[in-house]
Amino acid sequence: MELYYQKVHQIQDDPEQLAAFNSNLSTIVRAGPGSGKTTILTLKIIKLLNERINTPRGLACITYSNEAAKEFINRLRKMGYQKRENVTLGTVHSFCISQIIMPFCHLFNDDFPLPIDIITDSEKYKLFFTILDEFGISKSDLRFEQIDSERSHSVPGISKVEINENALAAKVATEYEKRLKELGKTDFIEIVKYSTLLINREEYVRKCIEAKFPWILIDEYQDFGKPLHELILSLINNTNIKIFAVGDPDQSIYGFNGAHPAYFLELYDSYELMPIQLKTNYRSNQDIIDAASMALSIDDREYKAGYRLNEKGAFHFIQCENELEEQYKYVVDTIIPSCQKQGIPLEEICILVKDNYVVEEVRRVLEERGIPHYIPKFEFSKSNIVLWLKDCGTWLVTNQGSFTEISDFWIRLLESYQGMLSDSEKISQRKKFYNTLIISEKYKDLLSDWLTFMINRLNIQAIINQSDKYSGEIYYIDRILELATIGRYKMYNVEMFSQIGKSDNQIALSTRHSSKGLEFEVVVMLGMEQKVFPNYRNIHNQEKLNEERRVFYVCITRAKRECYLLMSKNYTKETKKGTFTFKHYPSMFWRELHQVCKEKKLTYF
Amino acid sequence: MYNLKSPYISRIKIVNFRNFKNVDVKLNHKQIIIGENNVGKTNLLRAVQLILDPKLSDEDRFLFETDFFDGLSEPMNKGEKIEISIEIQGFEHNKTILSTLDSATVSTSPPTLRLTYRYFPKIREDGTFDYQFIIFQGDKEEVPFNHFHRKFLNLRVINALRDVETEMKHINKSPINMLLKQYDIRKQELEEIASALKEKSDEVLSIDELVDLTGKISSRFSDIIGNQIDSKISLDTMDFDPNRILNTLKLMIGQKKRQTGDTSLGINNILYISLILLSLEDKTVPTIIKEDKFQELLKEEEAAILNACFEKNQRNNYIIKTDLTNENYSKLYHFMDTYYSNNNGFTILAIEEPESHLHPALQRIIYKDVMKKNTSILMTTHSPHITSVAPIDSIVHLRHTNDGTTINTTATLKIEDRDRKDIERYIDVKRGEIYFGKGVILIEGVAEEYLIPSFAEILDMPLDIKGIICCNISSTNFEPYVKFLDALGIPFVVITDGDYYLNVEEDGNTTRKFGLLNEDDHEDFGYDGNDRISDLLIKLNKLTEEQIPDSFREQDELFFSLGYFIGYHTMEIDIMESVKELKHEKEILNNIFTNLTLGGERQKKNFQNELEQGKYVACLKKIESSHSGIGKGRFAQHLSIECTENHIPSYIEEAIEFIYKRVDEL
Repeated sequence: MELYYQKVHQIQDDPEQLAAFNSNLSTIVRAGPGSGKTTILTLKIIKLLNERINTPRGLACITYSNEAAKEFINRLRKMGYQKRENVTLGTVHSFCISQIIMPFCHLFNDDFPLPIDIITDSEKYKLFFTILDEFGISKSDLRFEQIDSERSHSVPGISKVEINENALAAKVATEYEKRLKELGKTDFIEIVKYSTLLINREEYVRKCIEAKFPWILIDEYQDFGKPLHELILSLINNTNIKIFAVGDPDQSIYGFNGAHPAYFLELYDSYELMPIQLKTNYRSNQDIIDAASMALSIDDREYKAGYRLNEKGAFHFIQCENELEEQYKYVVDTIIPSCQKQGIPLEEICILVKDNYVVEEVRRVLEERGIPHYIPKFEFSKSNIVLWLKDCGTWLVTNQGSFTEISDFWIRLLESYQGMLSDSEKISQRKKFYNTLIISEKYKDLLSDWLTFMINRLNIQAIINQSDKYSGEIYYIDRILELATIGRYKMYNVEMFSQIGKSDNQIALSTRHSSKGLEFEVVVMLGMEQKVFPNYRNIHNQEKLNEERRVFYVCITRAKRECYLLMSKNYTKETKKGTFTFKHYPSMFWRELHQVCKEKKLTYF
Repeated sequence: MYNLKSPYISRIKIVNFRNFKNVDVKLNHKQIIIGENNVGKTNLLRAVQLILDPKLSDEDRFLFETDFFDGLSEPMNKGEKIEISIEIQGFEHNKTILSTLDSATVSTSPPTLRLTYRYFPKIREDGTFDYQFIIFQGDKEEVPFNHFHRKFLNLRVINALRDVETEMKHINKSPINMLLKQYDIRKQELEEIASALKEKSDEVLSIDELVDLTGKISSRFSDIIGNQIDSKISLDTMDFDPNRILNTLKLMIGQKKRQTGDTSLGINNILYISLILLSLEDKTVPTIIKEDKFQELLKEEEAAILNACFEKNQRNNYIIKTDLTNENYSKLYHFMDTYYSNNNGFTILAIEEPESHLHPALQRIIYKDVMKKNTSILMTTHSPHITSVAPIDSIVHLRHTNDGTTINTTATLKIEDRDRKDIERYIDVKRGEIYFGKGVILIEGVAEEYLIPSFAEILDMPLDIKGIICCNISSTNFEPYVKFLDALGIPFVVITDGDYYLNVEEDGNTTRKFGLLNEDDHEDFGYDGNDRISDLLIKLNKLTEEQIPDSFREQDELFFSLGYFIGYHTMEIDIMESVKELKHEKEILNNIFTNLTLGGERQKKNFQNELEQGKYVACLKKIESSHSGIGKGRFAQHLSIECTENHIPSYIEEAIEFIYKRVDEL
C-alpha cells in the first residue's frame, strides 16, 4: 500500500495523469510514449477496487497479451492488491471465453460450436490453401494474414470506421468462415464476434457482465482490431459499465492482426467517453521527442519532456558500403565501444531490426564477439501454459517465484479437465505435482528433454484437448516443443529458458514490432534502406506506409537520448537470372529525420 | 409499494436423501411445509441447508450411511449417490447475485440459477468407494458453490427449539446489533457522544462527598505503604468506548419499559422473528444517507433520482421520503444497486414451527403480515392458524408413501382469480383443516356435512380414525377444490346430487324441468349431476369427450371408478327411496318430521301419507318449507343421530368405501 500512496503522490504534479486517475466517468486516455500509462492504469485499478467497487463486484482489465496481464498483476500486488473475486486480467479472448461464452453460451440455441474447439495453425492453412485452390487464386496474391485482417475489419456493428476492403480477401474470408463453421471449429475472431452478439442480444448476459464488472479497463487499445472495438462499443451503448481505455494511435503497428489507429480515434472523438491526453514524456529528452513527432509528420501532440530537461539528443546517420554484415560490424566495432566509453551500460543499448531472421544473424555475430545480449520479448506472451512452464522452470532452477502460485495454476488446469477436486484431492495433486517437479530436475540440462518430460508426465496435451478454457493453447505447446528440439532453443537448458527475456547487463535485440513498451538510453536501427523500410510493396499504399511510419516512430521513441540509423549502399542477391548487386538508398524516414535534424539544429552526425 | 421480491427457491430436487427417494417439486416465493410428524419436514430443510446454510461446516456437509434413503440397503457399498439441487428465481434485479452466481444460470426466461449438492463415490484402485461431496453451480461441475458465494445467497434456519432470550442477549449475533450494523453510523458522531457522556459522568467526581472519600482512601493507603512509590489513589467513572456504545443498547417493551427477559415467551418470540425479518429485508436502498456520501452519489449519472427521493434533515442527513411512487422506487433501487450497493447479499429465512408459544389469534395476525413481506420464507408448521392465512399456492405438502416421502406443492396451481378467492376464504374460515386431512370428501351442502360422518360411523368406517375430512363447499363448483387437492396429492372423493331432470318441449324450446321423480314413461331425461361431473372431468383433462359413454349406468360406473359419486335426485330423496320398503326406517323419518315441524296435525299426516306413497318431492318440500320451519340442515342433524344402515344411499356408501381404501393404500 505504501508504494501506492507514494505513486499517487508523484502524479499530483501531472494534471493529465491526475485527471485520468480521478475520473469517475468512462474515459479514454491518449498516452504518448513514456507518459506513464502503465502506472496510471495500475493506480486506477487499485483506486477503483479500494474506493469505488465493493465486493463481490470487481473489474476486468483487458491486455494485449497474457504476459502483460501477469506483469500487471505483479505491479498490483506490490501496491497491496490481494486476490479478489471478479477481478480478471487477461487477453480479450480469455475474457470472452471465461466471462461470456462459458457461463452463457449453453443457454442459447445458436450453433456456436461447443465444446470450444479452436482451429490449429496447420488446419487453418490447410483450409486456406484448399479455398485458394478451388477459387484459382495464386498463393502469391493472398497471404493468410490478409484474410484474418479482412475478417477482423469486416466484423459487423456500430463502428463507422471504414477500412478499405480487399475484395479478394473478402471473398476468401467469407468462404473461410463458412467452412470453419462446418468443421465445428472456431477461432479468436469468431469468439469475440459471438460474445459481442450475445452482449447485444441478451439482456441477461448484459446484466451479469455489468454486475460483475462495473468498470472495464483496456490497455493498448490501439493494438486491438475491430472485434474488441465492437464489443466495447456495445457495452458502452447497452450497459452502465464504465470504460477506461488507454492507448496511443501513433503506436498502432499491428495491422497484420487487424489493428488500426482509427478505432482508438473513433472512441476518442465520440462524446461517450471523456478524452484525456497525457502530454508529458518521462522517458526521452526533448530532442528525441521533437524529432519523433516530426518523423511522424505530426506536430500537434505537444509532448513535453518530464525528465532530462536540459539534455541534448544525438542522432547518428551511418552509411555502410555492402550488406547488413557491415552494419553488424559497425555496431560491434564502433557503437558499442563508444557507448562503453561514455559509461552507458550494455542493458541500455538496443538493436532494432526488421525480423526474427535478422535477430538471429545479429545474435550470431554478438555471440562470436562474446558480447552479452538477450531478447526482451518472449514470443509466448499469449500462452498461459508456456508462461507457466517457464515459471515452473524458474522455480526449479533458481528457486524464485512461489510454489503455491504454480501449483494453483496446475490445480485450475486439472480442474478444467476432470472437474472440481475436493480439498483432500487438491492436496494430493499438489504433492504429486511437487514430486513431478523434483523428478524433472534430472532433465534440467536440456530444455527439450525437460519440456517433453513435463508435458507427458502431466498429460498436458490431453488436458488442453478436453478443456474449453485452454483450448487455444495447443498451438503454443507444439511450437515451444518445436523450438526446443530443432529451433532457437535447441541448446538451451532450463536455466536459460527461465532467463528468456530477462536482462543481466546484456544488449537487447529485438524486431521493430516487438520493441513496443521498451526503453533504452541508446537505440540502434539497422537496415534503414528505402524499399526495405518502408518495404517496396507498401510505398504506394498510403495505409501501409502510414503504419510503417508509425513503426519508425515507435523505434525512435524507445530512445531516451541517442539514436543510430544504419544503412548499406549495396546488397548482392541471388536471383533466378544470376547474382546481382543492387544499389540502395537511405530510407525516406532516414531522409526526413535528417532534414529535421538540420532544420531544428539538433545534434547529428 | 416496494414490490421487488427477493430471491426464492423455485424448485427442489432430492434423490436418495433420508426420507426422500426421488422428489422434484416447484415452489413459490413463500413456502409453507406441512405434513405429519416424522414425515421429513426437517429433512427437507436440511437438504436445502446442505447447499445454502453458511453455519454448516464441511464436516456437517459430509454425510453418512444413515443419510441415504431408508429404502436402500448398504448404499455406500453399492456406490449409490445422494443428490440435492435447488433452483433460484427472482434475483435478476440484484447485481450482488448476478455478479457472483452467473455461472449457475440454467435459463434466462425466467432467469433461473441452479445449485447442486452431490455426495458420491470415487472408485479407489482396489474397487472400493471413497465418498466425497461437491456443491457446484449450474451444470458446471467444475464451478464450485462455496462459502464465498454463500455470503451473498444463504439460508438462515430458526429452529423449532429456540432460546430466543439468549439469542437476543448475545452481543454479536443479536438481531438488534445486526440491524444497527446495516447503517452507516459514523464513528466521529459516537466519539462525540462518548466524550460528552464521560464529561457528564465525571461531574460526579466533583461532589464534595466523593472528593472527601478519595482523600481519605489515598491518605490511608500512603500511610501504610509510605511515599516511596507513586501510590496516589483516585476514583474514575466508567469508560465510554465509542465502539461499544451501540452494544449497550437494550430493547424494552411496553410503556413501563420492561426488559425483554421479563416479558412473556410468546411476545419475545414475536419480537425476535420480527427483528429477524427486518434484518433480512433487501437493504439495497438505504433509508438514511450521510451528507458526504450523498454528494458523492450526486456525481453519478442519473443522480437526479436522489433529489426526488431524499430530503435533508437538520442533522445534515438525507432521509428517504415515505411516499415514493413505484416508478421512483424502482429507479432508485436500480441507481443504488449500481452505485451504492451495500452488497449484503440475500438470506432466505426458514422457520421451524413459527407457532411455538403463540396464541392462535396472534399467529394469524403476524403471519398474515409475514406473507406480504418481500423476504422469501420457508416454514414448517402444524398450525392451522398459519396455513389458513397462507397464499394457497405456497403449500408444500409432505406425505408418507411406501416409496418414501413424496412432496406435492401448489406452486404451479392454475386457478381463476374468483375461484382462488373462494378457496382462500373457505380455507381461512375453516382454519386450514383441508391441509391436514389424509383424505377429503368434497360435498355440496350442510345436510351432507351432518349425515356423511354418521353414515361412515354406521358402516364401521369412522372418518376421524383415518383422518378423513368432509369439506362442504356450499355449491357444486368442485373444480378449484379438485385442482387444489390434486396438486396437494391428498386423496379425495366428490359426492354430488344427481339432480334428475326431464326435457320438456315448450314453444319449440327444450327446457329442463327439475323436481320430478323418475317415472317409467319419462323418455327424454337426464341427470344434471352427471352432466356437471362430465364437464368437470373433461375440463381437468381426466377424460376426453369420446371416453364418456351415453348410458347413465355406464357413466356412473366410470365416474365412480375415478372417485366421483353421483346420486339420483337430491340426497334426501335418495335416502327416502332407499327406505321405500322399510317400515322402521320410514318411521324414523316420519318421527323426525313430526317432532320438528311447526305445522299442524294435518301437515304431519300429509307428510306421512306422501312418504308412504313415494311422493318424495312433496316430502322434501315440506321439510324445506317455511311453514314447517325445519330446513334440510336441521332435518339432517337429527337424522344423523337416529339413522340406520338402511338410510344410506348406495352411492354414498360406495364413496365412503372408496376414500377409505385410498387412504389405506397410502
